[in-house]
Order: sequence, then structure tokens, then C-alpha cells
Amino acid sequence: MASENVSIGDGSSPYQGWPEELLRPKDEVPTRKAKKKEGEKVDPPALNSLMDIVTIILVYLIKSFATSPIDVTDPATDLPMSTSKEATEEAAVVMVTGPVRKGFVNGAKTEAPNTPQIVVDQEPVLGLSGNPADPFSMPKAELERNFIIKKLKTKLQEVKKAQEAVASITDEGGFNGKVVIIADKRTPYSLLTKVLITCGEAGFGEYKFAVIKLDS
Amino acid sequence: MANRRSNRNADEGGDVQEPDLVPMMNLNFVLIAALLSMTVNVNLGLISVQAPQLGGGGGSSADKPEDKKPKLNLTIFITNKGYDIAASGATLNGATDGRPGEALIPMKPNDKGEMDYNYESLNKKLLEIKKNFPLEDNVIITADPKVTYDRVVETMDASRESGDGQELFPAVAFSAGIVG
Repeated sequence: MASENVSIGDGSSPYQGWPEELLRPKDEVPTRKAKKKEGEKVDPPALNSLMDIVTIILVYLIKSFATSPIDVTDPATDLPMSTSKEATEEAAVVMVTGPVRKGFVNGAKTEAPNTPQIVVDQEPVLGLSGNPADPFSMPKAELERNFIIKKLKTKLQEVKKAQEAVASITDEGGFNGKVVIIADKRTPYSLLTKVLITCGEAGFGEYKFAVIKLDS
Repeated sequence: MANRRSNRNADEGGDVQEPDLVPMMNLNFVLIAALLSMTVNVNLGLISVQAPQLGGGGGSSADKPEDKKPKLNLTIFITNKGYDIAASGATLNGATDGRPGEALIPMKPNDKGEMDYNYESLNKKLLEIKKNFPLEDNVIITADPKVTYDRVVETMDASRESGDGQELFPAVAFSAGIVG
């Protein structure tokens, strides 16, 4: 019941709030924990906004993870940087790994010796010498006519057959002959040209080198 | 009225049951952590290259059959002393500048004190050539067998465009040269 001296909204005077005798003293207002202890229902925190943000972040990460056509995750491959602005695209991948494998041990960066390899579509094809003096050398027996790497050519011919078979089933315009070369920055020019010539011999005539874009 | 909640999920006491979002939040956070750990934040690009010419100094494969003008056949030699440049009919090296036995554009120390190729001078030299041959955009690169890939890429960058963004010779062909 309102006090006669306090207006509660009849318009005769400014609203003064609830009269003190009707308010519960502050020390008797139950806290959230007290409400829980008393068995009263506790409102759960509003998670809707947090769910919205988390879902958007998740969708973005799934999209960026799924749409990258080239994935360079080998710790032994250090790509060179370039000002090239050409975008990546789907193609057969030939990777030449480097002589040093980077890693993390107990939070510190480490470098360990690695035997360079030639890898085609994630499958190792040929191991190089790994000799510290000349890690990228290979025996002459692996070469045909001094330029063509036999195992790489065989593997690329298999990849070409598979791509042609897929292209004939899916009617996507046929085999395009594109190959992306992902090479460690220490790869010598001699090995690079052998890889390019071998790719050409296997039917892959469009070469692209993968690099890290420099922010311009 | 528009904001009145549906009583579909109301219990016997009339309170609306909120769906329990905590397990779904747990799953989402775990998925985010997994995707972040698998994502490599590297901005990859590509450089298109034409087929290598065996024997060195060959013409590029981008020639149009109807083009009957004499080819420049601009070639950049990456030697262990620096850059030499060749075109149809002439090779420019240190002897051209009165420095026999040296490269046209010799190497110079970089910021780390190591001898590196002089990409800026190469870029300026190519800009001069471009002014005389504005329609030519092909260049052939041939290198010493031990020249590393990163230096070849930087040479390609220096030959692609000038410092002020003018296009130079973006169509690169590799030449096998003398393969060791």
C-alpha cells in the first residue's frame, strides 16, 4: 500500500519510486548463488550472440581451408618470395623439398638436415643424394639423355592418364597439361631445368612456379 | 504480441525451455581450434614460365606465326659473377664496358654483407631496352647450374616490371643452357 505522502504516478507530483517500506532491504536481496541454493530457477547466460560469432568464424575457416587449391605444408620446403600477382589454381603438383627441415621443439625453432625429395601429388617419387656438399645431386642412372628424370616422367605419365580419365567422365574440357612446381628456394637451376624438361616430356606443357606473394 | 514467445516448449509451470547450447558451443570451439591448427596462413602466388629450350638461347614459344618482324631474343645470363645480357646479334658483358672477364652487371654485397645479384641495375638496364623495343615482352633466362631458385625468381621479378610499375618483359622462358 502506498504511503499518503508519496506519489506513485497519479500525475500530481514527480514520481518518487517505490516507497521504502515496500522495498526489500538490500542485504535481503538474494544473489544468484543464493537463488540457486534456495532452489529457485537461475536464468542461463545468453549464448545466442556468442553462437552467432562462433558459427561465422567456423564457416569462414571451413571455406578458406577447403578452397585453397595448393597446400604447402612440408616443413622441408622453403618457398622464395616474389612480387608476382598471379593467383593459384588447380594443377598437378611437383614438389622439390629442401635440405633443411624446420620444426618446433619445446617452443624453440629447430632445423634438422633433410634429404631432398621429388614429390608428385603428395607421393615421394625420387630421393636425392642429401650429401651436405651437394644435396640436390642425383645419380646419372636416374637420368635419360642427361635431362629427363625417369621416375618423375613415369609418375607424371600416370598422373596424366588419371587426369585424362577424369576429364573424359566429367566432360570438363579435357586434360589441360598444367603443372605447379613447388621448389625449395635452395634448389639449383640445373635440377629445376631437369624437372621442367621432364614435365614437358610427360605431356605437362604449362608450368607455373609457386611462390610466396610479397605484400606490395 | 509480436514478441510473445511460443509456448510450444513450455513446461507444466509455464516457463519456456531454452535449448542447451553448451555442447554445441564446445563442439564449435574444438572445430575452430582444429581448423586453425591446420590452416597455413601463407599467401601463395604463381609465376607462369614457358618451356625450356634445350641448347640455350632459343626463341620463346609465344611467337605469333604471323609476326614477321626480327625477334629480339632478349636473354639474361645469370652467371656466378653477375648478369650478362644478350639479344639478337650481340652479347653485352663486362668486355663491352672495358672490364674483360667480368659480368656486365657484377654482383654486389647485400644488406647481410653477402655477395648477391644487382637486381636494381638489371631492372634499369631492362627498362632502357624496353624503351627501344616497347612491343617486346619475352625474355629468356639461362643460368649457371649452381644458381639457386630464389635468385632466379628475383631475376624474374626484376624483369617483370620496373620500379614505377611499368611492364617490362613478363613472359619468361627458361633455357637449359649448360646443364651440369
